[in-house]
Amino acid sequence: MERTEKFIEELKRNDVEVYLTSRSSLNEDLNEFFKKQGIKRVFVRPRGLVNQLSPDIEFTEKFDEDVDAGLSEADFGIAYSGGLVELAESPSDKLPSLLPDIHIALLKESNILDDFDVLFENIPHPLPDITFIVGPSKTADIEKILVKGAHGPRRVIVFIVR
Amino acid sequence: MRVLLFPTCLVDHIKPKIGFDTVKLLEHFGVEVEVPEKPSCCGQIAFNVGYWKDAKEMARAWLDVYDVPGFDYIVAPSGSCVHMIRENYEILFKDEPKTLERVHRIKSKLYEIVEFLTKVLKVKEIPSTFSGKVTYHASCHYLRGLGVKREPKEFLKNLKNADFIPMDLEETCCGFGGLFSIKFPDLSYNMTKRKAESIKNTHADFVTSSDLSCLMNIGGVLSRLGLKIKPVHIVEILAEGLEDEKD
Amino acid sequence: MKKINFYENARKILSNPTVVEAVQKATMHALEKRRQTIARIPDFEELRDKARTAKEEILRDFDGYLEKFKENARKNGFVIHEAGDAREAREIILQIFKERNVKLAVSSKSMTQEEIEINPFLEAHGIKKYETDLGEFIIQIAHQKPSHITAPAIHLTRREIARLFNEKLGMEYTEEPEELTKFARNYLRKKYFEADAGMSGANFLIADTGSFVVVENEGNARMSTTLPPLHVAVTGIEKLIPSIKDLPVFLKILAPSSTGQHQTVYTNIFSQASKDHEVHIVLIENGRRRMLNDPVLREALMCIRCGGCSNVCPIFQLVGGHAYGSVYSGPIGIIWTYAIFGPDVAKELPFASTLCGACYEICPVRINIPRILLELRRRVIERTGGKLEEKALVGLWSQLMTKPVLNKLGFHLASKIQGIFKKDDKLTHLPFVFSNWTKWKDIEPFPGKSFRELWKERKNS
Ligand code: SF4
Repeated sequence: MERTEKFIEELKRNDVEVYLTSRSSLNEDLNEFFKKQGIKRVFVRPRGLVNQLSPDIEFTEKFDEDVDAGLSEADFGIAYSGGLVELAESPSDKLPSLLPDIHIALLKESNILDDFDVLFENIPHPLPDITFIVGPSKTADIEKILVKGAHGPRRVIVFIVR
Repeated sequence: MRVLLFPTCLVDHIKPKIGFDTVKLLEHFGVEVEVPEKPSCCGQIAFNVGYWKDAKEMARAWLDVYDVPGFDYIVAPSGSCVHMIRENYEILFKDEPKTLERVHRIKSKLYEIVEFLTKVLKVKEIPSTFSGKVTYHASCHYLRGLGVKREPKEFLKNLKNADFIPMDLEETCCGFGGLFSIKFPDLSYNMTKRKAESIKNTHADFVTSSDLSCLMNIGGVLSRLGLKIKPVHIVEILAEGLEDEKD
Repeated sequence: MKKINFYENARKILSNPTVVEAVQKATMHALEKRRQTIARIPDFEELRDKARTAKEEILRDFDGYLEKFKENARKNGFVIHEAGDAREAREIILQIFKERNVKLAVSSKSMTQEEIEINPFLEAHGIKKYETDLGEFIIQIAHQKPSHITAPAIHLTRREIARLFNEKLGMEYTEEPEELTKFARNYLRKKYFEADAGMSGANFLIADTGSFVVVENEGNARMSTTLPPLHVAVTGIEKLIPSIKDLPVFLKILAPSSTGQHQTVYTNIFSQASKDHEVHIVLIENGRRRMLNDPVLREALMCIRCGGCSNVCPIFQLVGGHAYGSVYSGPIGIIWTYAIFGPDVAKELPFASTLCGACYEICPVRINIPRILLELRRRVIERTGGKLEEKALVGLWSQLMTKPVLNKLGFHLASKIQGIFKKDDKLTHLPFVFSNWTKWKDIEPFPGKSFRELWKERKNS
């Protein structure tokens, strides 16, 4: 699909690592990813696709020093910017994509939108808190030299679920 | 076609050759040129530093000299003076409907020389030659004020034998800014020095522009730095190889 | 506030080549990135027009939109406070903190907080507030002021930052930006969790949903607004936009005009509050209403603080933000400083521009900055009468240009006496104010006759 391609292109431009998967192989792909990357403890936002997983490793809803990565399902993707959209009902919903060094986002391909406009037309009112995430946290405040993982994740990984 | 030439105060008093070269260009394309007897200044030097009373005096005197019957156009070898009249007289006289009428009347007849050649006379190319490497400084009020960007460079590129080399800071201000250069000399100089370096990097023999003010400023620093690059007004380059109609 | 001595500040900075070079590099870098990014946004010019239109709409009915915002924000559960000036704003914030026994606060970057000088005030009341944006954090521990709106510490070299971290925070000495950043990250991580309150600014206040928006790259604003149980957003009332449907347009122009990024890493849209997570918005007027009622200054209220005009300004490129002596620097900063801190403080600033128009050309909402500067100059001269020598110079020129007899006499005289200032056929050491010119620049001597005289001679020959 053209929109997905554009989205992936923008994600890559934003230094996001992209994996394409399907609903049936998501679980397997994720477990393999965890294994390869040495990820043993994951801080999750228990919602949507995340709840349907059967992980080989430990999922936790509390953040601590031993967490290797954060996992959440993004509500939407924006092809225009290669951005992930997270809707949050409470501040704690925002943490899995923020606190760990690695943020893994799951995204249904059907939730990829062309542009922001579509999003604001489709969002329920009253509004939740909305966060757009465009790549890993970064700064260039020291001599304009780019450093990733300023305060938030150093790596952002997206699994697009077809 | 009859044109009343506005030489601008600087050209009039500092470099008359630019006035004659402007005439030469216009006459080459069959235009009849007249020059007023009285001196005049558009008033921007006062206007730009907040002395609007003095600016008004000069502007009014300018209108007296140029708002006269018998001419199809008024042409000036300066982007910034034309910009002053075209854009700022309306601000200056916003509470004087009578004067505003004069301003509107004259605005439609007033052109900078290259603008006039390209927009009114539809000249595509100057059938002339110029030998030497030339780089171009886009004067701020010409480029961003009047919106003239391409035309002067096209003319330069199409001159026979001329070697046009663009500089990287072509569109950056040269640091003149009228009285700015006298109020804040160290700042002005540092800006001009940056410009001079950009010019130097082109290895050009000449730097040209639509405005003598910029050229005086740039030339002043080039000279002080001992650089041999010559500042010349664009009409000097365009008219150089033209046959003198008068002779 | 004392009068800002722009030129004096600028000269000091010019004598420090490291700063000049750093500022130049940073601004040129942002401009180049902007150029590349905009090439990918084919409708960028249209987007600018749309943003302009949305901001014009706000100015058309400012009070209407402000009321609408407040009403909707309250529906969202936000507590709205209104401050007429900086002092009131500080008191309001202190009150909120006192009631909740706040001892430690973390904050993301906010110009408005700088404007009301909240940090020293809180400190004096025993409340420690940490700046968490890396650049701002560095500035804070160095006890300095930001030198650039989006790159506040750009005037400092990594060596200086390394020394700072080593001396003030006890970090083992290293000049590696990666290591320095990591250290700050760990240092501030603890603070987010310990803090009793988080603070932020706001980039946009959305009237039709009562939401507000904070954009950032580092994630420090997310941390500051998520982890502590209290969020206090401090913002000028001019940040209004009519509708959330306008937000895409602004998000599309802001980052490219600012750092040259296509989008900032994080865009945070806040619309929710709860008992466990209070959200307060402190709306600051502080001179903005005066601007609104001023036919020329009001346009400046459209500014979205992208910093593009600073990046492109050839003066800012040389001396950076510190020369302007105010939180608001660069071309638009001149106007804001004049409007907020008054004409006596800012009387030199409007002249700190060559009116080259690069700011107007780049401004995403097309604010005609040179036009406003011209008006401010007029006002300064009207108030102060202008400097004597300058006034004399302008007056003399006006006489020479409007009185033909004087004109002839004056220039003949000048061409006669100029010989004593000549060297190698150039004027190199002129007297009076003109010495400011010949300090750095030569000038061609006057010709004996004007163009008009020569023209007449030629015609008659
Ligand atoms: S005036 Fe325009 S360019 Fe300057 S900061 Fe404001 S929005 Fe950006």
